[in-house]
Amino acid sequence: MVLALGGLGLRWLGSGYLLRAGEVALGLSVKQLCVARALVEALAPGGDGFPGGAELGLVQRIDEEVWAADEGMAGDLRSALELLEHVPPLLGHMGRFSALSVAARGDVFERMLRSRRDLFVQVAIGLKQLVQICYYADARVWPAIGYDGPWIKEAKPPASALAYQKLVGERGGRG
Amino acid sequence: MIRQGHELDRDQRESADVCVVGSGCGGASLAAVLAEQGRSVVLVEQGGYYTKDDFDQRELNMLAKIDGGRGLHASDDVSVSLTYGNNVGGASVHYWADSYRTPPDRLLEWRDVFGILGHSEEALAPHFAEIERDLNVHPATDEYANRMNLLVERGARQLGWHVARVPQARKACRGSGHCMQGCSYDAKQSQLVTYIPRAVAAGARLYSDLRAERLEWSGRKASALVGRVLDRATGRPRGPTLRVEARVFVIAAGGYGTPDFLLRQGLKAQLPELGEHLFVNPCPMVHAIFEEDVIQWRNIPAAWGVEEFRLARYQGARRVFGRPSQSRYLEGGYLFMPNQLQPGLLGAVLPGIGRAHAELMRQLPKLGGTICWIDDVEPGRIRIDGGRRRIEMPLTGGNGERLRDAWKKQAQLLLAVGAKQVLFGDAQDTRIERAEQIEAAVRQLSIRPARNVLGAPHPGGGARMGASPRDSVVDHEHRVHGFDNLFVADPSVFPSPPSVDPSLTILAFSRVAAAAVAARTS
Repeated sequence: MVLALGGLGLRWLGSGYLLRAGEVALGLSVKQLCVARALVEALAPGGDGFPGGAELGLVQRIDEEVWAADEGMAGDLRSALELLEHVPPLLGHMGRFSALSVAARGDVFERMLRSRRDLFVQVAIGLKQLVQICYYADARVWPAIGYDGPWIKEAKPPASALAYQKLVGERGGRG
Repeated sequence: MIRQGHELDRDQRESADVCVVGSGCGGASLAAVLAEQGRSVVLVEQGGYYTKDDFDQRELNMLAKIDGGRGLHASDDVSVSLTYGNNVGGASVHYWADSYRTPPDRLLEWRDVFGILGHSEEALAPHFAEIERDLNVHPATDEYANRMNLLVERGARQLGWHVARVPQARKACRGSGHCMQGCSYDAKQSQLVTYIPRAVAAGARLYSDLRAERLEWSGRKASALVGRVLDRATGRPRGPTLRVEARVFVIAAGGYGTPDFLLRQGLKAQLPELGEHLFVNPCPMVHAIFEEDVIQWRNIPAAWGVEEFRLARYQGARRVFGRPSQSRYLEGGYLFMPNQLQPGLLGAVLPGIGRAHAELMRQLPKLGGTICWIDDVEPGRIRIDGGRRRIEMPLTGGNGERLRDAWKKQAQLLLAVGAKQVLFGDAQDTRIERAEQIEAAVRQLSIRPARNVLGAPHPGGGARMGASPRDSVVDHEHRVHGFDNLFVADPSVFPSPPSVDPSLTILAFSRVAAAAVAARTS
């Protein structure tokens, strides 16, 4: 009975997560990718001249970073997303992070950054930096911030990006 | 000859006088010196081989190509972000080109406190002269100074602080501002365009994408190094191996990499100090919004540097790295520089999220800031846990005192030169607008883990030099205690931070190591 309930609980923890059209999860699990998407929507919502992080494909970019990271780093990032998903009840919001409104997700994240618990701050800072570097390094954001961009006109992606894009393409994703 | 990982599809064997692990300042210069003296040299590098044509000035592309851990690695408790190279040329490819000689006071301290012999100002002077000629080191001239540099110069003079032109290793710099992404014009005189080509021209054989995994032993001597070819896309082993038999082995894998490699050889039992005494130069940044455009992202990062606080001031005896002290800290213990970040990294280190953060970034042209390289005094540690490298770096004690003083001085200068608002970049997003707010603001800044964004760009000390294996890892000739033919040539051997950018110190020390290796292979 206990095992059965435990099994149901685990299924609940991992249920309700669906990839959107064009998304492929190579570094993250489907659940983790959905949490990453919710995070991107909260941290880089766009508007008023800024493109939204989701429309830039930032979620796939984060999946690429995890896919290309060494085992230890990738494990840390996956664990951080898992913690984020289930932390809201400890910070005044009932429900999973990915199920909250964008405003509530922002509030949860701000509370993590200002928390007295080291673990919450460590997770929040790590994820914040990952999302924001990917967002502001994207050329489509530069017009909104007055950045005139590199002098070298042609981008030369690293071997990891080329390999990742190939895999995503093979799985029907947009990359 | 340079052979890249993708060119190797089966196991290889090599033999040489000298096998060098790592191609940054330490390994490349040592390899060049020895190869030019007629020694046969094999140089192995874990990272990829890239040239200026691969440097596209895109932050994410370049982090993936030349930064260790793709720029994502941090200390165990996320207190500091680890910055290190992972490419042929090592960290010199992404460094700022600041090129100071080791200050004489630091060389004296290393001799008098730590008993380091053979590395005096007089002994190193000819090496420095030669290195400065090879790297075209010269004080930054006016055309290199961007607006943020000039604000730092003006503010320092206004406050009565000693400020000086920063010596630069450059030739015909274009001022793109992409030093940290690798120089697309071969203007920065990194190892990639100086000692690596010289080493190769003199016959050194360089293997990139090759992870040194284990040494084979014959008594007190290393007899061979075995490495595995890595897949550049994933960083994972691809299958083929390289076995190098050599008379001498030199580990020059950097401040993080060298202790890591030696620990993985199981040497901790014989060398209890291995991995201890780590320093990293934690660097606190302070950001500012100005009325005027400062365009921090163009021209060179640091044409002017504040040297006023390089040495800490104490009431009583001066505090020495890693040693307890009863003296009372007053101020200083860091170099103070203008900051330069491209928008991705700047966005990541600025406080806040969502729309508020975006509005801050909208002011990018008016955003400037400063950074201090803290001369850390509380030692950290490197260990291997479950196969994973772990870095412990305390921000408490003397390190914390220096951090707070560096925050204060940076805010003071930024407000003195007209900043409308100063941002400390901490997790609580502390901001001030007036000088009288500095004390209270800095007092409440937390130095608990992850509350601040601190880089850790200059690691060293994890295989420090000294007379005895009881308190050090290598002797004055850079030879690992207890082993006849195993040497270290990188900042791991420094007993404490050099108090300036370490590149020239590494290069000069490496020449001392080269002389000892040459004597054993003559």
